[in-house]
Amino acid sequence: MTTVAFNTALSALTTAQSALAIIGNNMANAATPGYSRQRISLDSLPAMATTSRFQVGRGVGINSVDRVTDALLVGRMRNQTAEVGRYDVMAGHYRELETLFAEPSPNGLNSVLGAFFADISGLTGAPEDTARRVGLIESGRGAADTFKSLARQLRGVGQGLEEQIKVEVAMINSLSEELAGLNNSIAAAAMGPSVPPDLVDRQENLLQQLAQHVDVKTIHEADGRVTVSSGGSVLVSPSGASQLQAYDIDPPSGRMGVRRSGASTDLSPRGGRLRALMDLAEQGVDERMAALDKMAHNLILEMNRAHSTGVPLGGGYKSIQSTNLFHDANGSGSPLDDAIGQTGLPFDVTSGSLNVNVSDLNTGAVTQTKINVDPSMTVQQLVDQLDAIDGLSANVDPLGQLRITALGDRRFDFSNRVQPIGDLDDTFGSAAATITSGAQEPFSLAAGDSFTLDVDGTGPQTVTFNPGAFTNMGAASASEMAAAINAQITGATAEAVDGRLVIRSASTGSASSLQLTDGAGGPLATTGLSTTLETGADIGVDVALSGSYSGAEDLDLTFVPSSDGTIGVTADLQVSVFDGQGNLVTTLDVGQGYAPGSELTLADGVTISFGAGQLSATSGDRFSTRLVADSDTSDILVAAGLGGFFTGTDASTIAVDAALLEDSDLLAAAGDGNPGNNQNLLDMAAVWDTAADGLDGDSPDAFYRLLLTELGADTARAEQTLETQTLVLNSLEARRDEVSGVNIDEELLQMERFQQLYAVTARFLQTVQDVNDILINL
Amino acid sequence: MSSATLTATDVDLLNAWLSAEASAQSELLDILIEQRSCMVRQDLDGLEALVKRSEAGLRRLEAATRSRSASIAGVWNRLGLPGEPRLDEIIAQAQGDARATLEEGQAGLREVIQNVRRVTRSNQVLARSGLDVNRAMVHAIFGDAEPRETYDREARTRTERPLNACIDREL
Repeated sequence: MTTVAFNTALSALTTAQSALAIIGNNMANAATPGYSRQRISLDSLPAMATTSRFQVGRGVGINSVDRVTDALLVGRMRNQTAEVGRYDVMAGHYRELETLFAEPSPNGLNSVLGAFFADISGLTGAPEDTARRVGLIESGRGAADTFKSLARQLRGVGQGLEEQIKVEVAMINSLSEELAGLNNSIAAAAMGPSVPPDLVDRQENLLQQLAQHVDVKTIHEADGRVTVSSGGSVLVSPSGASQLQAYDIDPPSGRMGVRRSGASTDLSPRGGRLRALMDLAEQGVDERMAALDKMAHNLILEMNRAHSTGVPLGGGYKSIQSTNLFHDANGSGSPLDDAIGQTGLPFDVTSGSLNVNVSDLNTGAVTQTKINVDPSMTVQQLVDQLDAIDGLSANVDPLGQLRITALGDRRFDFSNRVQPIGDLDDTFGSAAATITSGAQEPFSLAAGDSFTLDVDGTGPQTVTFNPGAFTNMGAASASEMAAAINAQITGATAEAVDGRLVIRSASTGSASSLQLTDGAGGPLATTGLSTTLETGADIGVDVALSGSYSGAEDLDLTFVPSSDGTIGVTADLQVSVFDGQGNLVTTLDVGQGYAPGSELTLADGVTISFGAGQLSATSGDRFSTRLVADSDTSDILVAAGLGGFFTGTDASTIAVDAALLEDSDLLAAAGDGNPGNNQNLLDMAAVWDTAADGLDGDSPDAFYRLLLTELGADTARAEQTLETQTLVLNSLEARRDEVSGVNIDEELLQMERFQQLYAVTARFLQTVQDVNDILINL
Repeated sequence: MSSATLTATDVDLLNAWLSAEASAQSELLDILIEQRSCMVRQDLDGLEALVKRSEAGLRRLEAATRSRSASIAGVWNRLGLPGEPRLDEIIAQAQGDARATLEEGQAGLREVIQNVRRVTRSNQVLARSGLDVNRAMVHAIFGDAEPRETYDREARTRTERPLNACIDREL
């Protein structure tokens, strides 16, 4: 009996010491992350029979030491950790992008572009001011540099993402290796009485770390080893760890894939830092870069559209060359035989027209020529049209660079400037003898119809109309008749004006005369051409146009006096203005009360003035001029880089045209040849807040603000999601701590309760013993 | 030697007491064995649940003690025996079957008491070691602080919650 009591006491003390060690371990690890508190599981030792009626217990033994944990909770924590890792990366990335864009700040693109357009507006007050012109060009260079800097930094962020992916893969591999090693330790320990809880804690801790990088799924073997998989790939198996490798899917795009060594398919994680980095590498930077490129591309396009159709100081260009090259598309050795649309120009060329103005510095006369441009025409055809313009020379060098040069004292531009000398042929006011058909086309002619024309009294010249000169002689056009006449007479020219046939002597003044005589078929009667002798006036009427046409459509205008009379003298003398369809556009009062030379409003920013002189409706005085709305509807200037402000095509390549940097006079501030004109600056300034098709209908200003807004929204969304996911994770961790954590207060309460109950028990036992001491001696 | 003899009524009275006493002790033994099991497993909830059963066991022990005084002392005085009442001497006065019955009851009670004493002693060891371990833990964790004593020197409880009002009162 004594031995039994001794063994019982000894086992109790041993067990108590073990319990003390476990509780001490719990206490020591109260602040250890991931530690799961341990509980000792005790059991009574098998009883020993002492008598026929009673079994005597032999004490207490340790059954097991268990981790207090909740597997479901731990699994949820791992998933949540992956989500937190994912959004932590995303929020950090977007914050970095916001830092790059540096808005709002003086160095942000918004501020720099704002300053650039403010400088454009500022120059409108003094378009000739060299200092301000240089300042504007430098401001443009600052804007271009900011674009390039931003693009470079964005690319840097993209490259950084690739590096981070590689780092993540390395960390995943390291953790997988560690887990595999731990699997071996656990397997070895499992051969003993139980798996040490600390190893399982370490395993759980590693899984938790791994979940930060990639979402994980686990399968626990009966012996405690774990199989870990993610995104369709096994990372750790009981036999060892797999190695992941990051590789470039498409090097230029920066897209990266991750796959297990020897596997044929990519790892596709659903969460964790790696998922976020792969998503961002594929989309995050590209989207911003694409938006920035789009904005820069559009800015180049719109600014160059405006600038290339302006007029630089000096009345135009002496010579310019394209900054974009026509490439040899068909391999013939020269781009000249290639269709323009196939030559690799960075901006699209559409079917349209280009207005080319050639100005004579000596006379001030400006000759407008409209050439047709189509992407299907060859480069040679374009060059030929330009080269055919009087006073211009055009060619393309072997590298594909187009050069246009003005000959002699001439300059050229591509503006929509109005023809300053409205009556270029000097027909208005009859300075030159002029006969105009009373009827408008079509004219009914027959083969062999003829008349004679005496020009300036030099004798009759016969004009005969033959079918070969007409498409349909029965319905001949004024231009067909004019061409036939011009081919057969000298000293005078014929032309079609507003559907009428106008014949004009080459000489002016009173010596200038025209006399028609009808011939075979009587064509004069048919066309309403007068046989009256027409003579020129000693004083013609000077017509001057000025201003910049701001209408949306080209306008062909014909000016016709309403009666015969003297400018500023004859009562009710008017000039009627008709459009190309013969519709009356406006009527100008030029009779009594009009001061010759004073400006009258014509249409959409254009004014006209008439000098002193006589007008004759009877003699058919009339002239025509064209107001051009868009001087380059084909965008050939922008596509070829002729007369642009910027060069390049996107945020990485945008720059101010080198020619402008060298010579600020080339800044095309004017809309016409007047150095003080600021019309083109106004057009350039309007680019900032004018909706553009290339920006989805937004202005550059609105587009950039939208880009920033979206970035801000992405950042806020990522941060809010991160905050939410972190709160959930914190909640799960708190619940885990409730289950597995060590609560010192709880341990103390437990000890106090222990104290009380054991003291009560001891008291009870003492009572029983006292009573029985009496009884046993009875 | 007494001239009076042990009557059948005396024998019945003594047998009834022996039976009641043995029954109370057996119940105590059950409580003690269960108590030991709880302490072995450090099952504080089980230990707490046993407090009421312990209280009831003590009540029965108290009743048996009162019954013992009435039976043994009464018979002893009626037989006119000198000194402190002793069961052995009373039983020696009995004859035949009565004596055998009383001796058997006395032996049974002694065996139960012996077992109660043995389990009581082992439980006392467990309780003391538990208290020692607890005190050592508190000391290790909280330094010089000692766990608060459950009872003061006057054996009054210091707990705010009366775990065992009956035991406290009786003791």
